[in-house]
Parts: sequence; structure tokens; C-alpha cells
Amino acid sequence: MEQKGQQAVISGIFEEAQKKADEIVRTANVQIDEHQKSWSIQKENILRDAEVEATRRENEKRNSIISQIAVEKKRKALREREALINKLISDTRAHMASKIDKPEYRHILLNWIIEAAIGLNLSRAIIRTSAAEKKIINRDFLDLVNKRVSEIRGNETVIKLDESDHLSCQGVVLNAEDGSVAFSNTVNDRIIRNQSDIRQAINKIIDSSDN
Amino acid sequence: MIKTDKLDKIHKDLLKGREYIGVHQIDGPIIIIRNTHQVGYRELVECIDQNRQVRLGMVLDTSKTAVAVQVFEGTSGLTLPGTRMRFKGEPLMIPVDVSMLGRVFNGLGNPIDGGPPPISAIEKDVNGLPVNPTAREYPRDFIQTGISVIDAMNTLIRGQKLPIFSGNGLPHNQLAAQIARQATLRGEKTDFAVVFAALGIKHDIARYFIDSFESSGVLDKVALFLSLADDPSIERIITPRTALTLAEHLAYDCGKHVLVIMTDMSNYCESLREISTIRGEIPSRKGYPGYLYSDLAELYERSGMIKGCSGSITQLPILTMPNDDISHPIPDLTGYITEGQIVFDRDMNSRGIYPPVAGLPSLSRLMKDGIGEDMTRIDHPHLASQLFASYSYVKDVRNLASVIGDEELTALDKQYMEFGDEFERRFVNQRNDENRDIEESLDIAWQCLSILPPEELTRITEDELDEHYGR
Repeated sequence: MEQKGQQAVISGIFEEAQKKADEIVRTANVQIDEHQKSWSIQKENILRDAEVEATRRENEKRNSIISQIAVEKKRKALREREALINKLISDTRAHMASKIDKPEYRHILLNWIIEAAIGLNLSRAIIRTSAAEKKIINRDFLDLVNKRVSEIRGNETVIKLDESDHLSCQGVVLNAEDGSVAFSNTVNDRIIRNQSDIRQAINKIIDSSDN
Repeated sequence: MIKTDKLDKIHKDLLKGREYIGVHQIDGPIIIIRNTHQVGYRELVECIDQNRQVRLGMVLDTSKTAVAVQVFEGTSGLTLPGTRMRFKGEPLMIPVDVSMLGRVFNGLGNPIDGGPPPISAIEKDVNGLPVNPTAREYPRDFIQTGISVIDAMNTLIRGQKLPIFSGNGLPHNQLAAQIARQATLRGEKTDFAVVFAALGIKHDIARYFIDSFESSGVLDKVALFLSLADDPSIERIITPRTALTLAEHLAYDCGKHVLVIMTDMSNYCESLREISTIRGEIPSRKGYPGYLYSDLAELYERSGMIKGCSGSITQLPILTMPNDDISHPIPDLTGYITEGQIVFDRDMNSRGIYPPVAGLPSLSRLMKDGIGEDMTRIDHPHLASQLFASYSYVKDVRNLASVIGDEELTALDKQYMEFGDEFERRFVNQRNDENRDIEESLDIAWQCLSILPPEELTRITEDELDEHYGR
């Protein structure tokens, strides 16, 4: 009887342990399922976020490249045009330099000096110029300048040549006797002063030839 | 002898070539020169140093004996006897052309992107021309920015000038860049351009904007005028003017819808104060010149729409309020001129809310004419009004709760507290790459308002409540 009772207790304990073990396994399985589900959801979320982020970055990069190409294309066209303008201006400089020895240059120089004298609007002024151009400015030339300027201004004007030093560039600079005011009509300064008009004129020609 | 009037004209043209050798005084960015011919206010001046390098300046003041010239690029390296001045007989003009989009210029309109100077047959005075008030078109077109708190409560209208009042360290640049990226007119493919004027900001901020324009693919539609923190402060005076000159050409001559972003206007005002002090003018509030208001108006009024022109200029000036003080002369005077303002709240920013737009002090004065039926949605005006009213009550309840504690609040007040939190967390707060359309913004606003009992929503009609409440 006692042995039977012991066996019943043991089998009861065993059954209970078995039940407990089954329950633990079942709970573990449920937990595994839940974890797997949650991980799979997490995985999907991460993948979706990554996809969204990748698409965003892809768009960003594509936009950036398209926009850079558009900008660079525009810059390239402008640079080419600018190179053409610079070449034309430098050709003009060379052309003007080659004219110094020609007879018609005397007239050009005369106009530059008269223009500078009117710009200064002084009764006395000094001409500074390059060594090559000094050869053109003789007594007769100065008399003609003084006559023309006096006529235009309606006042007696005396313009002299500065014999002491000469300019390194082509053109003339007129100075007041006291050195307080000057009017530069060198080729360089004339180009810089009229740069906007020159560039516009060249552009108009380029545009019309493009069309 | 040539006729006097003809001689006068020739003489006037030739005055551009006259160079005055030596100046009387150099004081900061100001040069005083004596015994010149008669020159005009704001006349452009070329200031030539001993190496024949030219800096640009502008006539500030003249008298019978002396002329005061403000040199934009600074006077460092100039000497009294070695400085030459040439008066150009005209104000500062810049060439303007569509090809300037996609390029970077300094404050004076000279390219700094390594490219050539802009090519154009048109040159315009940077000081602009006053717009005939009767020629102005009343702005009515709603611009969707994709930012709920702006679209629903402080609507931006095409042609409006809507400043951002911010503070140091607040994300105003992010917001401006987001607006520039996302702004669109609903149902319309518009020909738009962005003109960006940087006034005394740092390189990294300028870079942030350039990167942002680049990544959104609009860089070729943006012209940048940069006068950064390390550039002479005086250049900042002219920078917004050059930027607006291009904007006017793009809008009124080329028919584009132009968004002008100017940051930071506080730096502009600082430069104005600096010049005013050097000129010895009688200071007004906080040392700013008495003409600060009219000077700012000169800039801000260069926006809007003109009858017969298909383009428009919408301005988005950004200013940082010193010490977050909205009564400081800069935000104060700006507020008088512009059509509303977006005000940033440091507390909201510290709570991680982006954009930290303070609901109550922000407003758009043109909003009422650009929202509602056929423009946004029929319930929009009442909904916006209700949001303002309810959020205003939330502020009162929060103040009360800070004194008596949350537990002592009534059930209704607790609902308001919940509404306030939800309003800030869901409606105001959004990612800086999140582009919400107006319907989405209004729907979120309804969801927030549905926290409150319907009888509290007194500014909304019964029909609107039936259609949207609790949905």
C-alpha cells in the first residue's frame, strides 16, 4: 500500500513536471514565434526605412548631378564666350599698337588729347605719353591741339608735352600742372572705361551670328 | 565754338575719365575728398590704389568743398596722396540677365565662382525704381510651403514679404532652405527662380544653402550674392540691393516667380549703424540711424506683383533678434513694413520641435485673401482662427498649471493641455524634409482639435464640424 502510494506521488510529480515542461516548451515556442514575428516586422521596417532613405539619397544625388551639369554647361558656354571677348580685346590692343607708325595715328592721338583736355577743363595741362608717341607730338601738333581745345572750351588753353619721362603704355595722360587731377586716355584705360559697351557690342555680334 | 549745351553734355560724359589724385581724409570705410566737380548722391566712384587696382564706392554726402565717399571693399592699403578717385556720373549699375542664375557673385555683383562677368545688354541701377502704388497687383495666390504651421496658420502668399524673426542658434536657415525647396503654387507648373543674398553670414551657412539647393536640383535656378562675415562689412549695404536688382529683372522683365531670401538682415542693420556712426549722425534707438525704417522699407518694398507683369517677387528676409528681443529696433521696424512675420520660439526649439514657430506672435497679414474656397479648402479660415484661439487658451492653462499644478486643473483644462501637446507634437513638429500638402496639414489640425469637446470649437461652423470633427 505504502509502495503504491509512493508510486502515485512520484507519478503525480512526474506528470506535473511533464506538464510544466510542456508548458515551458509551449511558452518558449510562443515566445519564439512572437520574437520571430517582431523581428520580421522590425526587419521589414528597417528595410522599408532603408529603401525610403536610399530613394531619398538617390533622388538627392541625381538632382545634385543634374543641377551641377546644368550649371557647368552654362559656365562652360560663358567661359567660351569670355575667351572670345578677351581675344578680341587683346587683338584690338595689338591692332592699336601696330598703328603707331601709321600716318592716320596722328589724328587718333589728336582726338585723345583733345578729349582729355575737355575732360580736365583746365587752362593749363601737361601731356604724358610713350616714347614712340612723343615723336608724333611736335610743335605744330601742340599748336593744333591748343587751338582746337581753346575753340571748344571758349577759353585760352595751353597744353605742353612732358619731356622728362614717358609712359610705358600706349596712349596719353593729361595732368594738371599742380598734379591734383589727371585724365588718362591710355589704350588700357579707354578699354577698361568702355568695357561694358565693348562687351555688349561684341555680344550683340556673337548673338546675331549664333542666330 | 561748340554750343554750350552740347559742350556741357560732352563735358559731362568726359567727367567719368577725370581722376582726382590724393584724398583729404580716410576714416574707416569713408574717404573725404576736396575740390571735385559737382557730384550726385549715390554716384558710383572708382577708387584706385597705387597698384591701379580699382575698388568701388558710393557718394554718401556732398558739399561745396568736399565729398564723402563710402568704399564698399574697404580702405585698407590706401594712402592719402596715392589714392585716386574717379566719379562715374551714374549710380552703381549691374548687368542683369537670366544667365546669372546658377552663379555666385559677391555683394557688388562681381562673379566669385571662377566664371566670367555676366553678359547682358541690360544694366540696371541697384537702387531700383519706386513702383507706382497703383500699378501693384494685390497678392492673392497661395504658396504651399509643405510646412503645416506656415501653410495652415501663417500662409505665405505670392508677392508677399514675410520675414523670419529668429535668434542665434535657431534653425531659421533650415526653414528658409526648406521653404525654397518645397514652395510651390498648387496645380501650376511655375517658372521660378531663387535669389539668395548672404549678409555677413559664415561660410558654413552659405555652404549649407548651396548644398541644399544642389541636392534639391534647383541650383541652376538660384543666383547667390555672398557678402560673408569675412568680407568688408560695408559691402553688406549694397548686397541686398544688387540681389533685388536681379530679382526685379527676373520677375518683371522675364516673368519668373522669384523667391528672395536675405539672411541675416541684422548684419545689414549693423553695417548701417557702423556707417552712421562714422558719419557722425545723431543716433536713434540703440545707436541705429534715424533712417533705419526708411532704409529697410527701401529694400522690403522691392517685392510684390505689378499689373501686366506675369512674374512676382516674394521676399523671405531672415533676421536674428538680439537677445531674442522682439521689441529691438530691427524686428520692430521690420514688422511695420512687412506683411506679417514668422517668429521662432527658443523654448520650443529646446523641446526638439521643428520648426519652432511660435504660434501666437506669428502672423501673415495677407493670409485672409489667399485661403478658403477655391484657393485652399473651405474650412481653412475658420480652422486657422480656431487653432489660434484654442492654442492661445492652452498658453493660459499652462501658466495656470505652473502655479497650481496639473492635478488641480479642471477636466476641460486638462483637455486643452492635451490639445496643446498634441498640436505641438503632431501639427507644428515635422521633419525638415517632410513636405505636407495643405489637405494633410488641415486634417492633422482637425485631429488635434478633435481632442477638445465640439462645444469649445466656437469659431467653426456646424457643417464644418459635421464634416471634419473626429474623423
